[in-house]
Amino acid sequence: MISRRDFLRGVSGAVAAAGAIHPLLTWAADDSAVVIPGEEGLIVRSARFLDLEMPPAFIDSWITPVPHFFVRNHMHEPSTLDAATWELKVSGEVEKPLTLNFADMVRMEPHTVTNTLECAGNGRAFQRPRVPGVQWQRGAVGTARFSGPRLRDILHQAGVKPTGKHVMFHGLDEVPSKVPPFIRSIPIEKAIDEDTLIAMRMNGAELTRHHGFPARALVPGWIGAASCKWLSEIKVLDKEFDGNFMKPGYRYPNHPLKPGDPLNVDDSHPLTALNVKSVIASPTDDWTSKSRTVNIHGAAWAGDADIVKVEVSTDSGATWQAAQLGRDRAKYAWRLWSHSWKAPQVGDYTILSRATDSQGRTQPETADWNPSGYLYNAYDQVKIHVAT
Amino acid sequence: MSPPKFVLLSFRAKRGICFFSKATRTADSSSLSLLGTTKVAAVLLVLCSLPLLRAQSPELPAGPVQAKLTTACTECHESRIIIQQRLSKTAWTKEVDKMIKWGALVDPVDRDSFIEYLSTNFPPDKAPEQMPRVAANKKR
Repeated sequence: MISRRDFLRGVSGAVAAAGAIHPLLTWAADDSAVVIPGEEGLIVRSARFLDLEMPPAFIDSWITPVPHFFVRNHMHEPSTLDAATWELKVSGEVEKPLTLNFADMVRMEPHTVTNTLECAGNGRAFQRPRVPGVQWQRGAVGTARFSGPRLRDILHQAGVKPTGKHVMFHGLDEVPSKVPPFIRSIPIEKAIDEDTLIAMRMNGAELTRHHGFPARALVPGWIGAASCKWLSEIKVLDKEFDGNFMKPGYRYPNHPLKPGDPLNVDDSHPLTALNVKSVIASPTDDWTSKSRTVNIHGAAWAGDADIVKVEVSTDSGATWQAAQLGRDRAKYAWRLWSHSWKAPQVGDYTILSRATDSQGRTQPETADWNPSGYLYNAYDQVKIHVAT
Repeated sequence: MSPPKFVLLSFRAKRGICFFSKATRTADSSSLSLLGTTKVAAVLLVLCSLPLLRAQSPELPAGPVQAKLTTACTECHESRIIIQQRLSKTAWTKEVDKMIKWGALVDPVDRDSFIEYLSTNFPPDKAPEQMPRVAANKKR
């Protein structure tokens, strides 16, 4: 039997060993590494457009450092970003259209939200049959403190007309060829939520270019695509925006599809809040443990719901044990979790994790299939070998 | 304090790319002479060129339409977007047609060959592609 003190000591040791030293040594020695200043150790899914994934072993702190925070770009980043000339236009179904500059935004009362941001396609690589798109595995997710004016304060200045039902975001991304621009909208109810921001800071510093400098939408608890980067235009609409990235993009079937079936866009809805989900940060897949005691840890999140339980199985799902939830918590942020386990004997093991949230949702053994691989949330799974 | 300005220098080699971003202040940047800016760019280019060699996008597999497909697709995105996909011929057909609609310059006589090439080289049962990592940031 392991005492609580030994367990906690073991967890912190394992975090240092498995969560930091091992992956750092692995990628730091990799000659094929790609140089992208400001980013560190991320998996390069694409360098143009820039799509960078956090290795799961980097989940060793509640707040994700900016250099470890995943990057998802749909288009080319703006080639020039100058806060001195940057403007944010507010128009559409408003009484008084506005043009705000950087100084105007900085003068507004800031609000801070700690938010777990996850790409809707995180886990797409595990969908079967396989689906097209960036082949994210576990790490298109991270948690940061975002700060900036509330969107509702900006909308209040402009005065939303009764006809204003949706709020559209448009950024400065550079669109190649005939690709539709990355424009999306959110319902007015979410736009005026006290936690929906126009974020200008991330973890206490100005946004970096890859994360949307000088300002981005921050729609907490919702899919990352809702939080448009390099924001230049906010437009209040009388209906949902109908461009490609609202329809057919980023939509979910109203009824479960048979794997392989196409999406009927007329029987689907736009993606909003994230699913309940957990991932195992350590041990990593194919890990060989030189100790019979294995410290299993990771993170769990549920969009705008709370995580109430994370369970771990070390026998391929036959039995489950409750993991210990981390102390740090916030409304839209993930909970870290850990579980210490002593392998009964040398051998191969499959470790699973599953989370349950305050809405009563539990991660399923198999995720609902959809043609774009959105909101994948099946049990996380790693296979390890216990050698001694 | 004046607001910050990001100066982005993006160097594209034939199949490679390297990113630099340099946060400056507008007051500082306005005092940079053209010569100074050129020198900075030259230094960055030299510094960038070594890692650039290791940062090149992988070449697409050999095949009858490899050159044409590389030209058509990498105008907008790099080859890693393609090589990480594992799709059936039906799914590749949808992707090729979507990209043509989005402006990829594909001669109509090449469409079927593109689909054949992609579904042969990147089928569902092929092992996943190992992707590189971003290098350590020496300044941290």
